[in-house]
Amino acid sequence: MVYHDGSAEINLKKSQSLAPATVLERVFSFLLDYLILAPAVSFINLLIFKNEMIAWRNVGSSAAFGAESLPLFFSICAFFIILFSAMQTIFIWKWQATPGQYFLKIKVEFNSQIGLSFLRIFIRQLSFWLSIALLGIPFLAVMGHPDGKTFYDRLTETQIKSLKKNPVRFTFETEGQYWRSLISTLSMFVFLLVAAASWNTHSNIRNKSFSFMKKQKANYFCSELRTVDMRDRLQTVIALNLVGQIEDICVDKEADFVLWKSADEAQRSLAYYAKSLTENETDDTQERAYLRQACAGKLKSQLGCQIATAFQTDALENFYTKLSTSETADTLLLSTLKYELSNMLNKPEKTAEYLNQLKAYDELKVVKKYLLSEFVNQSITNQSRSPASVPAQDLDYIKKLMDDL
Amino acid sequence: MIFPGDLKVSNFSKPNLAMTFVTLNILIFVIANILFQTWPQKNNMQDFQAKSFNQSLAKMYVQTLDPTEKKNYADMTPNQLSQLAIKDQRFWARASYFPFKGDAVQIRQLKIILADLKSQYQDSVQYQFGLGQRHTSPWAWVTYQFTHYSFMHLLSNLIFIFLIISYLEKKVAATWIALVYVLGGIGGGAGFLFLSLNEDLSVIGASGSVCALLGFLLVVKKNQTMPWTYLLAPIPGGYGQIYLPAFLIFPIYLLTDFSALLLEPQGIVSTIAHSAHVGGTLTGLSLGVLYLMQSFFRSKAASHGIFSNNDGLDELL
Repeated sequence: MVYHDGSAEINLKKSQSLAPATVLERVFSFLLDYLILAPAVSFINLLIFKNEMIAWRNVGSSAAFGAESLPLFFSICAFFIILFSAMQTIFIWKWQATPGQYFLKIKVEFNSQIGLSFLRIFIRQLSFWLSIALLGIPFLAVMGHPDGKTFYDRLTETQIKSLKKNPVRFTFETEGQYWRSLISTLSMFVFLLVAAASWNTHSNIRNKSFSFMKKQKANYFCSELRTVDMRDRLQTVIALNLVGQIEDICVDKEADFVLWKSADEAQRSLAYYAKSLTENETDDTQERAYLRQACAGKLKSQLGCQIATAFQTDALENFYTKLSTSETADTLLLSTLKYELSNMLNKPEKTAEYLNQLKAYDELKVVKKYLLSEFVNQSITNQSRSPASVPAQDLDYIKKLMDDL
Repeated sequence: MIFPGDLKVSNFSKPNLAMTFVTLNILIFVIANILFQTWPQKNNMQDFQAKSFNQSLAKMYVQTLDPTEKKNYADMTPNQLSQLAIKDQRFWARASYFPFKGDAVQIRQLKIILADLKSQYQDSVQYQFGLGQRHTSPWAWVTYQFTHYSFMHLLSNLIFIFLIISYLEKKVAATWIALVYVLGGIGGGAGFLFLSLNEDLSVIGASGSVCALLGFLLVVKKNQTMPWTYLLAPIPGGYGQIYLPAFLIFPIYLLTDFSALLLEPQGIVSTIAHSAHVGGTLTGLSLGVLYLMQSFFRSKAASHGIFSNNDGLDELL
């Protein structure tokens, strides 16, 4: 379509019996407005929120600052929408058309009898943005209305008219009945969606699983380990990952911290072993590289190398004996390894003892979960061997764990 | 999509300046891509993005920085740091001998990739034809204007070049347009060298020249209406041409570059050299003013019978 030269005289006042503007013209006029006004609004936004934008850009993808970046993002967006709408309002109030509408020869007619024109236009422009949030349904109402009015046109008693004699129309615009039924269906769908989302949010707030403070407190490391001492974190995370209680990403983060940031040389071998645990299962090249690195040079004598070698060479029996006879102080990792290996190598005489050793680490919620599942498993196994043989203290402990969780 | 210029009346069969510039750009793009490689190569980028190389690269990069740089980059995310690392030629050189501390497996693998990156860059279109802080030559000021990184980069610039020059050709002498294109490109290059001081890699692309043409058109046509070509949807009425004032070029195309410069004083935002755009725009605006001044004086001189009343430099050259 070729629009006529806009420099030709447009008489905005002769508008008594004008046809409603076509849908395409309205869409195109908004796009023109956006192209013309958005850069200017963004520039002003930038002048006002420069520091916030830099902060948001820098922390945007970082989970650690997720809580802070969200309000920043919403404030900047809200200011953009308000300023954009205010600019459009000034144009409409003064010239009855936004720049885009002016160039497409359409204009806004509003009932000036009822007053508050500026405010009404401003509300109309803001409502347009709201219609985007509601899947465009308020805008789509233009199809179902005989005078081509959107929902916000009706709300503010305004109408968009075309100054052209024969605006190009499409057949789909005349199918009013079809559009009305479609809009009703979509509205119902959106209503249900909003209701479900609201209920979900309400439940989350009540259950305290959604809280600003909680999100703010979440740090770089996994929240499950927040209370664990810095020196024990890597061992704890490996132990919990081996028994499937903690995700690979947590292990990766802890291992990265030890390798890149920590000066603790004693943990390097374990860190390489931890990295080998989180490698892609389909390609074991990287995993083997990490296992080799766990035993490279001085690291040979460290725990990480011993675990890596034991699992690589299937020398689990020897490793288990070494662990059982070792006099070094127990940690969660060592106790877990002893317990799991005793299970794996079928050493029932020691299993219960090692499981009881693990009770010492039950301040952590993930350890509680692990212990609960293991105690329940042990009870089931014991029952199958000799009925009603579950010790009373174990039952009490299971009850305690369940209460705590 | 909306572009200033008129596609409808363009005569494709007759040789003209617009077609000459388009052909020249395509020809140089094809030749450059036959002779040299694109950089960085896809496999390198995939390697960097794979696993946690991105994070490790950032950590390695930070270790090589001096305390002032470390302080300046303290607020940056690992992704931003790794982007800097990929572009920092000092880092490529240091990577081979620097005693990095960290994940030895990843350090070993990244060193190999970085060594490749350096050799590939030296054999790339960007290095051979581009204009940069570290590597430049007298001819780079012109060659960079006709070289493009990818086909889409070329296409986006060609649309503007074709539409604007086709339209300007009807109003302004070809010599002026060619001058705006070349000087605009040089101005863009100067803008890049002055503003993007920390940018180690060379710049390529006709964007500086395109911005100069836009700036020139803006000054010459001011608030007069001109045809703009638009494409909304492939339906009747969804594409065609519309008359809009020329001054809209500023908010629609040029203001964004100034915003980007305000946000990022180095002028580089996600691989786009806004500094070069700003340099090109300022050159185009200045040349537009110069053009109007000479038109004014020439028309005055013509009224006294000194020169014929045309608007070009043809007579002088």
